[in-house]
Amino acid sequence: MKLKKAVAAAAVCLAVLFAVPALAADFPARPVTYIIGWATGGGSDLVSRVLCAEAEKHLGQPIVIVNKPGGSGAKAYVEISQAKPDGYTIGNTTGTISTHKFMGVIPIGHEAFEVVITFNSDPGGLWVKKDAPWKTLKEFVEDARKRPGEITVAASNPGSITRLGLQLLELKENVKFKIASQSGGESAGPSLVAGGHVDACQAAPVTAKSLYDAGEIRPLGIMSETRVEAFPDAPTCMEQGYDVVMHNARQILAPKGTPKEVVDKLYAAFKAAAESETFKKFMNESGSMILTWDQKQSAEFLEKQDAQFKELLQQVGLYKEAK
Amino acid sequence: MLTKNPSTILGSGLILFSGGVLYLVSQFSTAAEEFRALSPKFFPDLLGWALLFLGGVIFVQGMRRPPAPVFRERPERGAVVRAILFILLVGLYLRFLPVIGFFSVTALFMLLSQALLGEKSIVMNLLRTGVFVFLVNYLSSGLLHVPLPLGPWGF
Amino acid sequence: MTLLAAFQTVFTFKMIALIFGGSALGIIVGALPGLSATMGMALMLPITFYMPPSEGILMLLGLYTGAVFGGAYSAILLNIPGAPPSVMTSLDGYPMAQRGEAGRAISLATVGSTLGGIAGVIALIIIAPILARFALRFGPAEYTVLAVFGLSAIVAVSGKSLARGFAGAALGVLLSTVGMDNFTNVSRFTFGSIELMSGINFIPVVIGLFGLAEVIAQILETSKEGVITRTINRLFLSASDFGKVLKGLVPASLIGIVIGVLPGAGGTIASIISYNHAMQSSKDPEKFGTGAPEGIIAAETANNASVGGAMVPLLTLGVPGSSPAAILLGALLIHNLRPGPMLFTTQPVLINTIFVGLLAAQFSLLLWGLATARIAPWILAVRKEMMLPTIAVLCVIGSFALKNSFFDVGIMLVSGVAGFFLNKLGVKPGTVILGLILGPMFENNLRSTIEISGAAPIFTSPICIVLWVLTAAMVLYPICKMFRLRKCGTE
Repeated sequence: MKLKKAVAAAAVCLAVLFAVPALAADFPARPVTYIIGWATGGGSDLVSRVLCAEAEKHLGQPIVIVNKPGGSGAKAYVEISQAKPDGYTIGNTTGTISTHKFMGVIPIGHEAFEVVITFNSDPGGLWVKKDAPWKTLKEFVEDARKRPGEITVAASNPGSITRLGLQLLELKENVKFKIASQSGGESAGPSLVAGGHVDACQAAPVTAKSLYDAGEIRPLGIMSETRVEAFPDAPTCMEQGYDVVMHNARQILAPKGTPKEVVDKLYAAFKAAAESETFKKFMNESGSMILTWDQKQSAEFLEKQDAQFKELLQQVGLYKEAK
Repeated sequence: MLTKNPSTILGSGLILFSGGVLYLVSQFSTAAEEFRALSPKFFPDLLGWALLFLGGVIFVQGMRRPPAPVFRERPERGAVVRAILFILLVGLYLRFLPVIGFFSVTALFMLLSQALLGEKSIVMNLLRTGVFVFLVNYLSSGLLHVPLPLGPWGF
Repeated sequence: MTLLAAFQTVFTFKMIALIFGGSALGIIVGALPGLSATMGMALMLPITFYMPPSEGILMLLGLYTGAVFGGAYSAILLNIPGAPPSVMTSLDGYPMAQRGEAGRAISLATVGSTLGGIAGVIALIIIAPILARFALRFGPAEYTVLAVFGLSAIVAVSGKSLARGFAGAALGVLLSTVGMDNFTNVSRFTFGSIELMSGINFIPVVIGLFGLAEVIAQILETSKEGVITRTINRLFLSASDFGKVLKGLVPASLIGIVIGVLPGAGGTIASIISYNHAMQSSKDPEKFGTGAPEGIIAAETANNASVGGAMVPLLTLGVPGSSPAAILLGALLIHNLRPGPMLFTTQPVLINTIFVGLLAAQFSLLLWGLATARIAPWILAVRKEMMLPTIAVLCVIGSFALKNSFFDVGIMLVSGVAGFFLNKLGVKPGTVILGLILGPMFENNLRSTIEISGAAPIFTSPICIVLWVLTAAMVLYPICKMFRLRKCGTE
């Protein structure tokens, strides 16, 4: 009996001893897993891969990227929230971190995580064909007012950030468009506009940049507070008198309970990565905006985003009480 | 059973299946929504009915003109047992993959399944298993950077 | 002369090594079931950050080309399409290998892929802008009818019983509806599982239906011995085989290029339509599915031609024509290069380098393919006891690797068992796969069309009308033949 107790005690001591190296002081001691909740080759995937390639250098350990697509990030969110909070499992988000829980897709939101950094934000935007009859946003909105439900606008599926931005415009101006969903997310939108299949589309500048540069489409209004650097000629909705702002921001998440020192180390590494030349070049060329908000700023932002989306979803009738 | 008419089997199977499908479709929660485009129920419904119809056609075809039986010759009992065991092994492989990691579970699987299928020499078995697991591991983690699940002991 | 400069850039030792090396890696990625070109390219992407843009891009192009071709290996040798574009290759490739002519099958696939790929690059170089304009005219209505056109291949793949063919396709389409509906967020057949909400991915299903089902069938076969006799494999094709390749080259490449250009349709659909066409226009279509060289040629030529096609919208408009092309876009963006009409004027040497490099990549297929055509069939000589477990492991890893999902492996297992029984009962796996691949394209685009403008454009747009006529031709021709045979009493 005594021997058993001694062995048990020794085992506990050994276990604690072995657990100690897993503490923050030595982080990271082995490769970090980075979960992307979207398919390989998509927007989130590419941005994350470039970012991680840079962050590896500052972190000192390889970052292994794993794609776990499903439900626009839903599956990945659940998985990250259930991982061990030791900093070795992290992943990224888009705006869906705020919408999923209000639509009843998953029961958790950003409170279930430690947010490491907000590194990117893409505003929405309204685009039309180069020779479309509307020259300004005002003409477009007024035309929609005159013939409700006739102007076709391509946007992603119900509940997606893209579509919400468009619906925000509808609500604020009391107009109605004929919103057409398209499968394959918002990337098909600009092509549909250029091909003349729809009158307009809602898409982030990133997605529309190729066809914009090619001269096929032009922006009526970007849904950000100030003009996007890579699109100096694209007017914002705000400066045209329409208070419509919609951002799709990307954060990096770690499970709740991850020690502060670990989060700080991760933040430092990813911040440096976001400010690296390679990443800047990539984002600039894609037309995307770089941010480097830390934990506190990100949390504040997410609170605001939660409130904004909750209200919006209620207004468009997609809100579901949490399970 | 194995030598019976495959068309009637298939036909009745399809009819039952499509019945289940149609029931499930009716359960879709599309209560208070109006759909500008097709209702999400439309397509599955259509397919359910199509399968019902096709099941009937196949069944009738089978009654009128019995085709060749499912298995030309009865496979020997040993083969059937082995097949079932093999499937079970794959199932176990899947079940334990997240638990003990790729390396170990693959090695176990290879050893057991080779023995099941008739590999008599244990040495050859072990050898082949070892080489194979090593190769796949190298290929995926080393060359292609595809992360394979690790067991609790780190590999 | 920029073309000359491009040639000089490409034909250095380093570049050729990168292209051929990338292609070899691509072939391995393509050959392993479950790993796709997109994945391989995404993994190599960070490496290209620190290389000069032309080197990085060319390596990725080599990867892409190799991966599309590589799927033929596992399709022919193991009946598991290594990548979706090779599904049709397995229909005739595997039976041919079973006959002992695996080397011939691989050689056919090699030469077909190379020539198709070259055709694709030539189209890219010469008529890219026209093709790009054409691609833009494809809206949801056109895609809907294209899907119908593709589905008409059911007739080709059904085998003897049309009813079973349609049933299989219906099953496939039904499977494709599982998940959260894109348009309305209504959950269909998800039974509350978050896994099922994102739908059933078709790669695990393909692996299960083709691979695992075949493994099970092999275990049950006690009459046949495990070793397959090897026939003499010549390094190059026989003259008549080569003639067949040339004969099938034009239609298959055209189909591959045109389909490849369309964003949202790629090598897979191209090979389906090409196979269907080859079968309908052949003198004895019954031999398709039993090891007809024309089948392999049609499928492989089309899917490699689609690579060149996918590059068209990428380079001319900056819109990727396929997922791997999206990765290429990323690689270009890293180096501050935005593809589009501006790139043609500001970086003519780079553009020409891409053209020449892509051309060189096709020849790498010739090298690797013919080199391995001899030795690859040795795999078939491995005894069953080793072979079948190995295939099973590959099936498991392949299904897992795609989305790092154990659930997908489960899907593979279920598809395997179900597929085995369905096959025994006469439902061909090809029909199910057709439904699974083309179902979403049809349903989503149909609903898009209706949302935008009602169903009318499906029947009124000029492109749609052309596609309807083609579909009718594809469907009616064999049915007419069947009726004629019945009347003559040959049943």
